[in-house]
Amino acid sequence: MKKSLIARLVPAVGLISLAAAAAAPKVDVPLPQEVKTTGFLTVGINCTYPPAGFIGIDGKPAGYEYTLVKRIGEAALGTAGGLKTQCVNDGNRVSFLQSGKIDILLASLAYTPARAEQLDYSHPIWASNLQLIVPKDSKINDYADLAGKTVVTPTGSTYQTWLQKCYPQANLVTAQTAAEGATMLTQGRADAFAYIDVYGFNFTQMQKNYKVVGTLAATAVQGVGVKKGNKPMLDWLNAVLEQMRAEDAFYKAFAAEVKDPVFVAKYRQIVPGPSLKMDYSRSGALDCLK
Amino acid sequence: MTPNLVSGLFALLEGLGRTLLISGIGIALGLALGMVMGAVRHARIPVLSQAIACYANVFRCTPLLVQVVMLYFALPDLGIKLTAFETSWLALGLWGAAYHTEIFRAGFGAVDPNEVLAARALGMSAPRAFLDITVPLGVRAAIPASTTMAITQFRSSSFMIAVGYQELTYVANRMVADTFQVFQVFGMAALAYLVVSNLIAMASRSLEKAVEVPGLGAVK
Amino acid sequence: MNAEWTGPVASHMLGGLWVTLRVSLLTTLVATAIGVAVGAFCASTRPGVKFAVRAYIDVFRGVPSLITLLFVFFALPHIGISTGPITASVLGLALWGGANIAETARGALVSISPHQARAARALGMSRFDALVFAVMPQALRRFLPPYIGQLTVLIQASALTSVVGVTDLLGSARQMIERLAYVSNDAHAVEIYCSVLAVFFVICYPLTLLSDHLERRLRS
Repeated sequence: MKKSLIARLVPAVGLISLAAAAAAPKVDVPLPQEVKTTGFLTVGINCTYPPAGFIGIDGKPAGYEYTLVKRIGEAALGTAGGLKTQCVNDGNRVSFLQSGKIDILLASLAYTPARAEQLDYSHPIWASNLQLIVPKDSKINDYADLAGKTVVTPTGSTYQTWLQKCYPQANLVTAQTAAEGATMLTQGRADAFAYIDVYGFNFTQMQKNYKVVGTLAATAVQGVGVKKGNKPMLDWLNAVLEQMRAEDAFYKAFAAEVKDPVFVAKYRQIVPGPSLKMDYSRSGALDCLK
Repeated sequence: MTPNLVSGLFALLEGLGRTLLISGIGIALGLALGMVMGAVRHARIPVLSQAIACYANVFRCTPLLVQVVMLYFALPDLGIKLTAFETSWLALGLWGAAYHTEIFRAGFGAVDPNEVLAARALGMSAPRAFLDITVPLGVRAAIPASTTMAITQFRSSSFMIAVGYQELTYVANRMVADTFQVFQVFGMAALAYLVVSNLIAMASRSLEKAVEVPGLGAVK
Repeated sequence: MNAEWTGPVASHMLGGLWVTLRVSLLTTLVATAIGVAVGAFCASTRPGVKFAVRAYIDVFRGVPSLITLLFVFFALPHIGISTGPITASVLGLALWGGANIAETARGALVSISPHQARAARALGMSRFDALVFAVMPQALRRFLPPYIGQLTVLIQASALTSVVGVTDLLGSARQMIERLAYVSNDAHAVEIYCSVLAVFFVICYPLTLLSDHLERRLRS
């Protein structure tokens, strides 16, 4: 009786573990030593920039970037148990990376040549575009109309640099988080809120007397940041990202977070997918519109 | 490297200028409000004294960092929309006033009651005696403590990065985030704060000497 | 009014409050240790020690707490020490807080008449014994009330750790406001910030009362 139970259990367990092993992504590149020894992969994430990275209703991280982070964590240590996150902001994220307090940085890190001197970028994982949120009756239709007007944007972002460079006649104000920027807009203290088009889309769904205007600009091709010179980590990470690209993980994470299929479909052509490999040459985070 | 250093220095100086601006206005506001409220508390005017005590307790027992964020984002609900600049000096002023109230109250209280009695005996009315005797002497007594508080206000202007006001600490933080020259940038910022703090302290000591009332306290 | 949003927000902020309390406690311990030690060294007659102590106090009191905090956070990795953000924050805040406490300790020690120390030496006590067993116990009465005042300042300063990425009470409040702004029309920012202020007030106000009470009772 016992024997037949075991005889039935063993292959069942074997099958399940085989299935689990098949589901657990395997990459040819070895896992970096520091992750193997500590048993954890520590990732720096955004905690105040929805929909990319924020804190959900259960107090745990959420957002499409976090979905990608979880996927990378699974690739590292099998389950979500080996993943540790650290909330970072624009001021301290590179310091966290350089000092080794985080292994990788996945926090809307747009590519700029200056940043590439301080850390290593993985293959591109995303591209974000800038747009403006303005009141419905606003006369602002594009960035040139910002001259003399107040525009608010998150501090330390490439958008801040881009606006300063390309539209210096605009009165630029910075906000510490996305919500604070939006609050400045709704309180009438800014004439426009310059931030990623996804946020603008979500915002205008909820606040009906605002609209999104402006050409898609300052295309920020984003990557995962790795400490400069850490080749084993970079190679492993790129291998995992390639696998994720084959699985179309990026688009799926985005679609799961931003539930409007029409809007999400716009991103099909500009983010990594099985048939689309991105590179940083398309990055125009600091290029002004012609 | 050199152009970077020069432009960096300029940026820091700009930040210092803004720091001095909001500190100046905030300190002036704090002193003015503090003197008035300290006088009210010294005179023990009913209702008003308690209200001021309440205000002072709240503003002293809560972090300035949170106060300034509240002022920035909550006031518009009451219809008052302030820029980051205005919020900064207002927050500094209100917070400083809470401390200056107590300092000036102690100063007014330190005035020898005999002086006031003598004034009244000479026929001065109570308000007159207060304005001509208590206030001048009390303010002089309060100079050391209120200078310390003013310097604290000056240093606390660094908290205004919470509303994105680009004062010295904001600029320094941004610079370190971009260039990683931790020791140089923060070193220069720290030096700036130290120098100005000491200047304020020295100016205050000169002021104290200049307005000294000769012979006061010589006979007890 | 729909109060569904309060539950998740409160539970997340409780986590932040726990971090704030831990940071405050650690900072208090380390700062007190540094401050009392440095303050005691003020009594030394060796010029090198006197200079070092004076330099430490003047520099770390004169530089804003936020700059010290940012500096320690960014500089530690540069000199090879790798710690978490909480440890770096505690260290940075304790360096600043320790200077303030040292100044308070110094003031208390200095206010004790030198006769006391001389009398103790005359009785055959060593310099060290005279300091620890004769002067310090008396200085303690002058030290405690302002020291408790310093503690309230330290606790409020713990709000600064949110700037270097520690999810304390203020940081967790901001995260919740961010989420509410994203998923609904009303971020309830005012209510949430008010609750942060209330928590700090509830922690600080009893300490202030204690300090005043001690001052009245210990007044010699």
